[in-house]
Amino acid sequence: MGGYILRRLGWSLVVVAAIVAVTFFATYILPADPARMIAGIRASPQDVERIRVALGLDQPFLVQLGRYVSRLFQGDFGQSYIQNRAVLPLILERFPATLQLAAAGLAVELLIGLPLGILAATRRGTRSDRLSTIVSIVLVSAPSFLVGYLLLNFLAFQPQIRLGITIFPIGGYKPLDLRYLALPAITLGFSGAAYYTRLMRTAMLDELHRDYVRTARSKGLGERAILWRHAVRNALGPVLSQIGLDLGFFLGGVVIVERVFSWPGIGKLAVDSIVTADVPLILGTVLFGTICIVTANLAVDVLQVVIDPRIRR
Amino acid sequence: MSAQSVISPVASPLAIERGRARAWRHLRANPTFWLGAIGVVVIVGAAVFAPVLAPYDPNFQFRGEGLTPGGDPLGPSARFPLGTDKLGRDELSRLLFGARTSLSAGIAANSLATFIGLTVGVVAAYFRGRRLQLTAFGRRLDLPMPIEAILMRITDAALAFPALLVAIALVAIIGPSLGLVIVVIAGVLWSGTARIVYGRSLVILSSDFVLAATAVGVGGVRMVARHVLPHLVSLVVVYATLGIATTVLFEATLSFLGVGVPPPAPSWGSMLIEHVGYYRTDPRVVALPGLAIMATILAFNLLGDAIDDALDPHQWR
Repeated sequence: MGGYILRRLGWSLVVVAAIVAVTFFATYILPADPARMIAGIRASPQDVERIRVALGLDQPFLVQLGRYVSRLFQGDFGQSYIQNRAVLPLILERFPATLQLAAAGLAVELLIGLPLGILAATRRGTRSDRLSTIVSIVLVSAPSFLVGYLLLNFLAFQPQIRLGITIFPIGGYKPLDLRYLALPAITLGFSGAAYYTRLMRTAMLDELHRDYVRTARSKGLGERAILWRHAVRNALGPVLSQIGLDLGFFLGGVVIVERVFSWPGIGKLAVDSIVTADVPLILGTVLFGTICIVTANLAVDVLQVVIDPRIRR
Repeated sequence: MSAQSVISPVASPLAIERGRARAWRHLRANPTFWLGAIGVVVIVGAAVFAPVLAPYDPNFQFRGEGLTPGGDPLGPSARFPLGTDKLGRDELSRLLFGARTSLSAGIAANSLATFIGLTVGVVAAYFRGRRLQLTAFGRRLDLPMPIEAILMRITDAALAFPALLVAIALVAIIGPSLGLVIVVIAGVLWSGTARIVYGRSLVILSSDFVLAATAVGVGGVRMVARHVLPHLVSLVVVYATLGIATTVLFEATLSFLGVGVPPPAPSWGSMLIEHVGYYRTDPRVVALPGLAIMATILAFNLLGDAIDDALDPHQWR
C-alpha cells in the first residue's frame, strides 16, 4: 500500500513538472514584451533594457526555467507584472470565493443528479426513465453562459424592474451570502448534474442485478430497504471518486461562471492575467489549477485503495 | 457524457453482422434517435446552405434602418425575421453563417482529436508487454519496449491538464485563428478517447480470435487493421458523435472568452459575448446565439446517446 501511494505521488509530481515546463515554454514565446509593458509606452529603450535585465528576461530559456522552478520550491510563484504583488497571495486571496462556488455547485449537481439517477434506475425502461435521460441530456447541452445570463435576467433583473424587489443581486460576491451564491451555484451545477444522473443510473443498475439484492429479496426484505440500505450505498463508490475529480477541477477556477457573475475567483483572475499578458500570473494560475486536479486525482486513487484493496496492483 | 455501457464482449464477425441489423432495428424504434438525427440534419443544412438561406450578408450593417433611433438593436420584424444586432446586422443571417464556424471548428477539431486518440489508444494497447528481440554482434538482445508506458503516461498527463485554462493561454499567446482553435481543442480533448480506445483494444487483443490469428502468423499492421479496428468502429462512432457536442461547446466557450475564431466571421460564442451588455434590456441578442449553441450540442448528444443505446446489448432484452 505504501509503495503504491509513493508511486502515485511520484507520478503526480512528474505531471506537475511537465505542465510547468509546457506552460513556461508557451509564455516564453509570448510575443508581448513584459519589460516594455512594465516600463510604459514612453520609456526609453535603455529603461526597457534595464527592466529586462532586472527580471532576468535576457537570460536563455533553460536558465529562466531553472530559476522559476527553484523559486517554486521556496513557495515563490513570482511577482505579478501588472499588479506588482507576489502571485501566490493573489491566488490564495481569491481561493475562498472559488471554494464556496465549487462546494455549492457540487451540492447542486448532486441534489439534481443523484435522485434523477436513482429514479431512472429503479423505473428502468419506463416513461420516467426515458424522461430523466432526456432531462439530463438537455441539462448537459445547456452552455453555462446561456443559463447564467438567462437566470440573471429572469430571476435577478426582471423582479427588480417589474416588481421592485431584489431577490438575487445582479452578480458580484459577498462572503457566505446565499443570495449572491445561489445563481452562480445553480448555473455551475446544472451541466454537471446530468453526468451524475448517468453515473448513478449505471451504477445502480449494476448493483440491482447483483446476487446480494436477490438474496435480500428472497429473504423478504422490502424494496425500499433493498434500495436505500443496500443498492444506493454500494452504488455511491464511483460517485465518490467523481466528486473528488470535480472538486479538484472546480477549485482550479470556474472560468465561465465566474466571468458571467463577476465572481472574483481564481478563474476570473486567470482570464484577466491572460488578457493582460501577465506572465507570472498566467503561470501561477495554470500551475495552481494543475495542482488542484492532480491532488484530487491522487486523493481519489488513494481513497479507492483504502476502500477496496483489490484495486492495488 | 459517459458511456460505460459501450464495453461489451467481443463477438465473431457473423455475430457482429447480426448485431448490426439488430442495433439498427433498435435505433429506428427510438424517438431520441430521430430527434437527434433531424436536429443534426437541420443544423448541417443551415451551415451548408447558409448563402442561399440567409436573407442578407451577415456582415452588412444596416446603419439607418437596422437600429432604433437610440442606436439599439431592432426586435423581430417582417424585414428582419429575428431582428438585428447592435451594429444593425441581420441576426438570422449571422446565426446561419455562425453555424458554419461552429460546425467546421467542431467537426474538424473532433476528427483530429478522434484520430489522435484512436491511434494512441490502439498503438499503446498493441505494444503492451511486447519486447524487442534482435540478434546483434552475435548476441541475442531482449530489450524492453516502453511504447505503451510512454503513450499512456502522456495520456494521463493530458487528462490532468486544466484544459480550458491551457487552451485560453495558448490561443491568447499565439494569436487567434480558426486553425489554431481547432488544433488547441483537439490537443486538449484527444486523451479521453485514447483512454477508452486503449481499454477496449486490450479486451479485443486478449480475445480468442486474436490468439487464433496470431497462431496463423497474422501480426503488426494487418492484425490491427483486420482484427482490431473493425471492433472499435461502434465505440468510435459513439464517442465521435458525442465529441462533436463537446468541441462545439469548447469553440463557443473560447469565442465567449474572446480567444475563439477571430471576427468578423460570425461565431455563436462571440455573437453572445458581444451583446452581453444587452442581457437586461434585450435578452434576445444573448439568448438566440446561446440557443443555437445549445440546439447543436443537444442534437449531437441525443444522436450519440441513441446510437450508444442501440449498440449496447443489454438494452435489447
